[in-house]
Amino acid sequence: MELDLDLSLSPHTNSSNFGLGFDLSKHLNTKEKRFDAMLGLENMEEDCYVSKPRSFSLNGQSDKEDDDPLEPDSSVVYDEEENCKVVGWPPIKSCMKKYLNYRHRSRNHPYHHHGRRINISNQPATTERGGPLTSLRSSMYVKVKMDGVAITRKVDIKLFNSYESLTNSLIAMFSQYQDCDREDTNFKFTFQGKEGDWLLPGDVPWKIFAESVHRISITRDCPCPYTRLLF
Amino acid sequence: MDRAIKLQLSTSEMNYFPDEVIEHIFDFIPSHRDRNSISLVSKSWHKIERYSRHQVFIGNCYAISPERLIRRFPCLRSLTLKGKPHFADFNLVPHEWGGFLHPWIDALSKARVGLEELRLKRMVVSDESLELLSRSFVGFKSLVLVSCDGFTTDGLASIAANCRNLRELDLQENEIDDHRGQWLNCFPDSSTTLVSLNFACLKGETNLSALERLVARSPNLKSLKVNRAVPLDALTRLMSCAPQLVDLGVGCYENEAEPESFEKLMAAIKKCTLLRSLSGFSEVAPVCLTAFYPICENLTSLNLSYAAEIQGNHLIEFVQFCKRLQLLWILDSIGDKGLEIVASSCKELQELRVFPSDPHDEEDNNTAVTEVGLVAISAGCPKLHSILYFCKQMTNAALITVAKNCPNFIRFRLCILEPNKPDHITSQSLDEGFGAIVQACKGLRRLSVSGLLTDKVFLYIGMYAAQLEMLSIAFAGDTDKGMLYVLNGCKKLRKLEIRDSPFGNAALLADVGKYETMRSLWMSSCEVTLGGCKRLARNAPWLNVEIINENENGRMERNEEDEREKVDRLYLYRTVVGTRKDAPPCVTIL
Repeated sequence: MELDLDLSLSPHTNSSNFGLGFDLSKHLNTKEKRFDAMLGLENMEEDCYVSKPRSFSLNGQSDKEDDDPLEPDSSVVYDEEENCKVVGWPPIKSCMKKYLNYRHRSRNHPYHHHGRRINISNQPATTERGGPLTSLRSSMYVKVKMDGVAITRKVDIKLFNSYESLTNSLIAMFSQYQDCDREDTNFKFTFQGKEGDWLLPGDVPWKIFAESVHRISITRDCPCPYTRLLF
Repeated sequence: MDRAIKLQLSTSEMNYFPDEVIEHIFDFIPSHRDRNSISLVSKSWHKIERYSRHQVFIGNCYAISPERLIRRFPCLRSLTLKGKPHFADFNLVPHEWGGFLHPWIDALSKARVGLEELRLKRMVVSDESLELLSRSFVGFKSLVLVSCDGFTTDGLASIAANCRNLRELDLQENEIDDHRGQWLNCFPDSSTTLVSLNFACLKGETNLSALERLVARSPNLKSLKVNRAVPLDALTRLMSCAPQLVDLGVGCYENEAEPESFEKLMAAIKKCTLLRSLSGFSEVAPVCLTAFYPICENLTSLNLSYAAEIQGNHLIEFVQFCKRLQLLWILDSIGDKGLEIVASSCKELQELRVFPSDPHDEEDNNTAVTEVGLVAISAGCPKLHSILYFCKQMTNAALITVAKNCPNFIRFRLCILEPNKPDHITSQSLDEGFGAIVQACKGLRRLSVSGLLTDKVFLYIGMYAAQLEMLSIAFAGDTDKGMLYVLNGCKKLRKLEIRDSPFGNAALLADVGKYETMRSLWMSSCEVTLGGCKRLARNAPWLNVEIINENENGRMERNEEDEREKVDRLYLYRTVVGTRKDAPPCVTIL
């Protein structure tokens, strides 16, 4: 199949020149020139917006010519770790993003051993269940703040082995502060990881959560005069 | 379409037949577009078509109102609704933007429509809506929710409890608040009609005995996708009482399998001779994947995109035996070598998606895929028509080769992780590569471009992509010409979504009538200004022009409005029902 596109463009090794003075029609074949002409766009130069150099790299700093990295109209956001991350990029769904984020963090945890998982080709007779992660630390205290309660409590995450056991205990612990009926109340648990993002129970597998949780926040929603006063 | 034309030509003869006969003939034409054409032939055909239409697809829930839908199609049985724009998947749309299900259920319920199927995508669904749904439609059979949110397991409990004829409950990638309720218990003991149950996205604990009892009393169950909370031994028991399964989503095994449990699992799997589709494996030791070797030759669909624990070599070992695979979703840990093996083993492959296991390039490993893998697949898989490929680098030469190898692409989505990245060998833009794709693939309906791209790629798209319906652009183009080439050239364009590209008012306003032929346009972080959007809204009253603001305070301050102010996010769509009334403060409709 014949493809009649012209591969040889004028060299653009310095990509910061893109968009400035680039003449589109120079490198088209006749058919394409006709299409361009048909649209009457040759004289559009004055009205058209010509962009500033847009090249930047995700991991490094933005282009040298770009003095102010915090342009208001850019969607590049610098987070606390000065890791240049673009909002909504790459375009993967948030459930997958969350999953991959935490897999990555668990792999890079200082206590993580790469040989933790069974490899079918060289499987030892018995393998330690659960791996070294949980046994290396004896306890891990995390702050718990419940909506409407002044005092922050602390719990040792290592005492629990599932989201359900943790949330049950937390509810029991705070029950003395409640003045509304337990059955009525809907508790919402959110957990803050070391990176600062907030997750819901089950967003990540328990093991990974237990290693990286930093803070717990509980909000409750019940038809009770006390909570109405809060809002 | 041929049938519709033939029918059109013989209308006059056909009108001698009673309506019931004509209606019966229409039954053979399920396609929405064909039925829309039929309804335009004559008044009597319009009427017959109206009353015989059972399935309706609404691509944008704000394009029409529930009342008008019901007035036109009173015999509606199956409804598909889509809410938020596509970029909502990537957190570019505020959570409270809209797309509420409730008004639809409310209206359908009041009109006593005999609803049997509801398919929703990116809608906000509440427990109240689910409860109303479960109580209003006696014959309700099928609920499919994709990327929806706003509900909890309490809503699922009402569906389970009240929908006596439920056949399908399919929850895909929804954000569901998992309360400590026992929704699986809510299926009554008399419920035996389930054909498909997918709750893989639920994050909480699952009542295993309730699940096992439900599966045991559902002899028609063909598709079962469980969530992370279902351990290996439970899975074994489930498969043992449902050997008729065709589609299985596997849960999660925190701890490595004991040899005995593994044996039992393999035995159960061997009995599932009808199994064709496999997914899940989100927290799994590779040994669990190997348990499926006995049936891997039968598999036509394999989704390992959440199987980050399984390393490349294990993936390759498994996939190379899946000779009948038609659909493969996988992480890039399979590597170029792995894709070469897929290319030589999976000759029936039609759809491939390769997701990035390290989206922000934080790890040092080099096992991600490159242009080499893409070329190998295109060379080895003659039936390939849909691809979504995330990679770190690409070249024009590779894309040109892919275009030559695979002129049959219907969907081609390439995402190079780093914005603006050029051809890594020649340092040129990727215009020529994508140009080759659109020129060769004459049936291309969906395209996503990435990498360093100038206006030229859009010239090629406008010229050659005659069948293109959906185009996604990010960090591309130089001037308004780029967008204009597309708007002028792609006659069948329905959805255009653009982010971080230098297109402004001149492009937006050049042909206002074009937007009436399209479902929607999204532009974010581009160069359009408030003044431009206002002018558009004035000239096109049939459009809803929505500006989504950055600030949390809400509406744009009237005295701070500057027409030259750039608009952060613009979303416009055609509608026959005017401005919607349920927009939140952060959305301004012009």
